[in-house]
Amino acid sequence: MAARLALFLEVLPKIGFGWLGIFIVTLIIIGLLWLLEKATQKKK
Amino acid sequence: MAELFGNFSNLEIGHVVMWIIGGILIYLAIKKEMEPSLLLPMGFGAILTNLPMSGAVTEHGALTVLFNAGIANELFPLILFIGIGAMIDFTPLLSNPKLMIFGAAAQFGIFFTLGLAILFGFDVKDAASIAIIGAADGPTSIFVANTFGSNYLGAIMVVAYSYMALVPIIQPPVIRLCTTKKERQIRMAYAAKPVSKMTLILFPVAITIIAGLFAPESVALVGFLMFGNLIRVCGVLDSLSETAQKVLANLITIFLGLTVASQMKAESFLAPDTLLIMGLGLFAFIFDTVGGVMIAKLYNLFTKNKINPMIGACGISAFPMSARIVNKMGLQEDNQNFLLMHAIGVNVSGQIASVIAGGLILSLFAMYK
Repeated sequence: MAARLALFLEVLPKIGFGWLGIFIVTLIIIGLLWLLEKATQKKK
Repeated sequence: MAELFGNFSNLEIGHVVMWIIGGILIYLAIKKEMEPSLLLPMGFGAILTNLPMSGAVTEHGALTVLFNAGIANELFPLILFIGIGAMIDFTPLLSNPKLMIFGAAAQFGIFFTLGLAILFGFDVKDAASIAIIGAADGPTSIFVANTFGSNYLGAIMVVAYSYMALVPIIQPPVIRLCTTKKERQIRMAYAAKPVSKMTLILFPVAITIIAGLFAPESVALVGFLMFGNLIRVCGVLDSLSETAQKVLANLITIFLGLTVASQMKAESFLAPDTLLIMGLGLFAFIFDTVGGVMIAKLYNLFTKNKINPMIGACGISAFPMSARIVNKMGLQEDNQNFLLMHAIGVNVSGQIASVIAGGLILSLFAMYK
């Protein structure tokens, strides 16, 4: 059990970063879409 | 005469159990119409695989050849993604991009389950492969489990597809537990905002580049999905788009189901770990739903225009089943509460987020391969 717990604690930061990473990528995509819409609206 | 009945002596109880499991999958596919295009080939394939001395799964057997040609090298799931990409209309998402947040939120179950699987004694590559069942996305599960060389590929594939079919049973009680009646009754007006063709075309290209920069391991997954979508929206490849959506997707689905079943050999499938994987897969689906709903509730704390938190559950990616369920639940609470378009927007964002999650897991845990 101690070995499992040690492994869990070793990967825990990566687990947290993984979920956070999806949010970061998502926010970048949302920002890009906003810019894209602004650009195409201006064109109209 | 003895030669005629010779193979009967090779029959073991495990084979019979697998025939019963195959029969159940066929029953669910036909009688309950649960993911029939996958569960039926998988059910039949399970029987093919578990006939004693089955010629289909010998070194040069047809299913082994198909496995090596299409799954061991990840080709089938990727080609299927072209078809899936061609089927998805991103317009509801593009007209309200902030919905993507809930797609990201609903990947919580993947990461929660990863930790849980490690605590249950799986090594990191197997834990990551099991956790990705929570992507609610068969091709992504196959791709990740295969890339990690997981020992549980067969069980993971079967569990992933089975739970996708069971989304109408798994999600509603979880959503009810996480929301109040008042929250479920929140109406959301839908005003279809026009999305320019330029945005529709640039979207798949931009997603591929962004996802590729952050999670290079996801390039094949995201790229094939987005390539399929580009064919759909470009406007000059209608016949290719139609072929990808129907012929290509159907063809691969037939082979995928049968080939997945080649991994359902009694000796490896009928193990306590399979039950554990089923339990962990269920946890992944439940906590995906919880993650999506809870972030939607959190979002409501900071905005004037409240959203119905049930739509957060659609970020689970099981497309379009999850969106249909939430729409149905909304109508049950209030017969004028039409949530479908919002739910579809979150659902397609879940498709993107689950692929990105797969790529991030491959990148973050690459050292454990």
